[in-house]
Amino acid sequence: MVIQKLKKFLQFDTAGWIASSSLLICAVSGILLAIPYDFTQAHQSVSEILLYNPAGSLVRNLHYWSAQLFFIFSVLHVYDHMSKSTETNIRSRRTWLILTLALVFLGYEMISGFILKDDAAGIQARRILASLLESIPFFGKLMSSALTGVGESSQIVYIQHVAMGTILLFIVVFDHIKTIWPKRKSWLIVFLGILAISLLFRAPLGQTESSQIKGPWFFIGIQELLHLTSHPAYVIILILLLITVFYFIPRFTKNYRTLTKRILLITGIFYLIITMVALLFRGENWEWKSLSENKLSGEQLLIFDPVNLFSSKNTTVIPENQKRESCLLCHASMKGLSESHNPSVMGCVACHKGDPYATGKSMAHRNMILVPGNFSNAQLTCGTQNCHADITNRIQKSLMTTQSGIIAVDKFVFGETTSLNDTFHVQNLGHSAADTHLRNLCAGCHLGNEKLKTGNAEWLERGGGCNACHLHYSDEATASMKRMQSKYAGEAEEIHPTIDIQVSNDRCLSCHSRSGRISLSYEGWKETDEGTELKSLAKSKILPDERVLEFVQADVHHQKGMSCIDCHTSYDLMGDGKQHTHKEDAVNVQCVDCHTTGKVNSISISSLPDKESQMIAWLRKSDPKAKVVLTSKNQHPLLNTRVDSLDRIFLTDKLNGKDHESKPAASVCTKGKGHSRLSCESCHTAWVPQCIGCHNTFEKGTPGFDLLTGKTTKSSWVEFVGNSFAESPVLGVNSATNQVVTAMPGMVLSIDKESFEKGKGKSFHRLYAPTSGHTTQRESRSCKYCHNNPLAIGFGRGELIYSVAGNTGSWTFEPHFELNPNDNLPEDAWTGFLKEAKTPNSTRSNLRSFSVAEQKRILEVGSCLTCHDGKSKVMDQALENLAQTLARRSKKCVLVEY
Amino acid sequence: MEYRHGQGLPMGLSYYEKYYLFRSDQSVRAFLTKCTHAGCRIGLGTATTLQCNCHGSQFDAETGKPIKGPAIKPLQEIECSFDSKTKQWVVTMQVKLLETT
Repeated sequence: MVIQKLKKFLQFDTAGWIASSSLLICAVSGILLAIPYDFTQAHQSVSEILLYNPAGSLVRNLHYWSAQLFFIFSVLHVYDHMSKSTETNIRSRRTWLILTLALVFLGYEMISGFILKDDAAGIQARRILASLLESIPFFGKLMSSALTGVGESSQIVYIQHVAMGTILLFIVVFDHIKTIWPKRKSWLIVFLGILAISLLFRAPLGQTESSQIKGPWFFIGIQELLHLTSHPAYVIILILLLITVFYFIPRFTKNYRTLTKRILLITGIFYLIITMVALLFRGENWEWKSLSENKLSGEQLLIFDPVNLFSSKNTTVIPENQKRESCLLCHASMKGLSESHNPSVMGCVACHKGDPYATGKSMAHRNMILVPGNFSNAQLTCGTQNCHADITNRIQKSLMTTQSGIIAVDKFVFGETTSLNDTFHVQNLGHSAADTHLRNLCAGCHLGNEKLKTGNAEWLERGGGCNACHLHYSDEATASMKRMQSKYAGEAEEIHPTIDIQVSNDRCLSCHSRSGRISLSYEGWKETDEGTELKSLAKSKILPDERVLEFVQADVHHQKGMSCIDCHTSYDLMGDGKQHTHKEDAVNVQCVDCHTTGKVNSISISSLPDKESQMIAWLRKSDPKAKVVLTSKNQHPLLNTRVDSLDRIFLTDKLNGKDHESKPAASVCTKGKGHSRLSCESCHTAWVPQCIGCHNTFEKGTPGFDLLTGKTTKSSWVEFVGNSFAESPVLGVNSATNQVVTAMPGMVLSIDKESFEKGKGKSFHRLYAPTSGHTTQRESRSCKYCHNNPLAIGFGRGELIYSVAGNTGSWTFEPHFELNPNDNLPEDAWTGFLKEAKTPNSTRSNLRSFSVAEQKRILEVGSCLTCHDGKSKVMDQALENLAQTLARRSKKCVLVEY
Repeated sequence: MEYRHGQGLPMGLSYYEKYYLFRSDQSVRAFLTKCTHAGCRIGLGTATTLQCNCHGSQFDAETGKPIKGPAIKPLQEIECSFDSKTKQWVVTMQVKLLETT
């Protein structure tokens, strides 16, 4: 009984009468909406209605929802008649023609209403409509200018929407039902229904800038069809064809009529399906996206946002240039961000998403991203097309994201790969012995690690995508954030953490205090052995993870005040878009870029090759004629340098603005052939941290941590470190360039694989790694420091003794460390004394220790240095031409014989 | 209507809403930012491409040629000449006629 009553109530009238009731509501609400709407600043005026005018917002909702109902019930009305075959009741061809044309008017009225919101989708819709109309032969231009106007103004669309379209629709309705007044009861029910919807659901409005463009829901199918064809004219022909067929339906014979109607019905169903699919799964740049991605990036169709009829906010003065977003109703006083991210101008939604037009806190914060910049949301926040898309794309291949090099070496020592040059991604780690080793000890240092809460990252909270380097909380910002998150925020000033490119050294420290420990070395600190007492050290400090540091000697660049980012540009740090295998491949800057001898490789600001550099130069108001250094490796500009007319290079610190003149390399560096193979680092690196005798075992029952997932584990790989030193680096050869480079113990360790999985055995590796010590000194190492130093040549620590017997000399070596039974080399050696090394003995396929022939040549000069001072004239001559100098030697000189 | 750009015009792509410029070592070319498929305004893609967000077409910035459909026609090139007196690049919104041999 109740069901029947409800059914009867719901079928209170026909679709046609519901449509005409909706049209009347739409027209009246449209007249009211025209008062606050300003077509010269359409989007701003609609935004202001939504934000500051609750009654206007309700009227707008009434207008929108009544229009939607009018459209839907008009289509249902047509279907109703078609299904009952009552279309033949209309005898007059004129009446049917007007009804057919009414479909066109209806379509125009709906799309013009969509255009008049003037958001990104509305603006593009007008351009598409204009372009499609223009493509119609002969009448095209006239129709386009009559219906969409000329240029970017919405004036013509506005006039046609409120006047021509509305009048024509009412004429059609009157011609069809001989009245424009629906039945009172029906109208009342329809009005109450629309009012209820309008009070609860907001009419959509997008942003003026958006890379996700979707037309009105009923045109999404056409948008998809346009995507599928390179010839939009086909879509116009299809629409005209359907209208023509519709016009001729009453004149077909019964059989053809039935067939045609079935075809139209199938077409309609097909159209609905593609509309639904495109509506749900098409996203940015009309690419396929998941529902969740579209939920965050796109404009929602049904937005639950009850109109706040009792709003008490009195916003009388709205700053002219302030972004119209509801966030600023509460957060307009937000300070702390730089001009590039000024929230007053760019709003909050560009980074934090949420709902820019909802005025209630919970509604406005829906789908909000609390911590933008994590890689899971970077494409929607920092990396949108209008912001930093280029960087967020290329950073995905950066070694700081993939950890490829670390993984490749680790898997190599575990015997899980045979090549040191395979590429990996930390997110793809499994649970093999090497993968678990990485998860327990290394996988915390990558940018993909999510930052989940506000505030400065703690020592072990590494990663966070863009935030890892660019987000910084001052004390005031931290206090402000705590106030905002408490229930008693009050009216205190809000301070946002800074987001900028002033990346301080401490940002690098958390990760780069591990492995090669370059962040520690650069500032002069060396990690001490476990158990070292602070009292025993002259100058020391403790890291947050309780490692004790001892001061050795800082890099000369650090002493001068330079920071990591003064040398390492965004292409070094965030990648250049290429998949590099190891860090030395990815790093672009070299000593010679600034310490150049001869012609400086430079470029003028006006000719900068990449968008990012152009943007930074523009923000810094750099002189277009000024020249900056271009790196010799990949031709990337160093924007904090300048090259004057005398080809002198100056560098300005990015953090403190201090200026330095960068001197060319000393003449001794390029003198003669003797040192032509030496890299700058091989002479100027003061020390590198060196660790030997490391042992790794998997301890079942020892709780650990999976750094990739952030979860504790019941068992874990454990590392037992041996002795550590801060001494001059070992020298070796880059076999790809034939250059002498610096190296340090990389993977000198034993691994108990048996402890992880039975039958795997134990292994020992003596792999040295290339190093850039970051302990550069102006004064280079002395001649003896290389030629007479067993550590530098690769033999390890010990006594290198030159003995003369008669007319022949010979070298002997007494190691300090015992021989390792695995390879019979001293624990700290890279290669045997006057022995060819067994390969592999490095973590790179192109790095090797000195061959026997090279060792002999080094020691030959070393034997001269046992008598002659390194700065003597004869050694200077030897540097120019060793063979000639030896040929002139006196009888007292005893050369080494092997 | 004409627009002028000084010698500080950066290398590569510079986007100006209605048109964009592409400066290479040899020349500066100007193209309309109207998609040749259905008339949408195209925006920046990567450093060397432009992107239509309505239907997904992509264009090579240097030549204006489509690199991803549905567009099949190249972007409309417009007149861009160097004024040696003012040392400025002058862009007129006039369609550049094809050079014939």
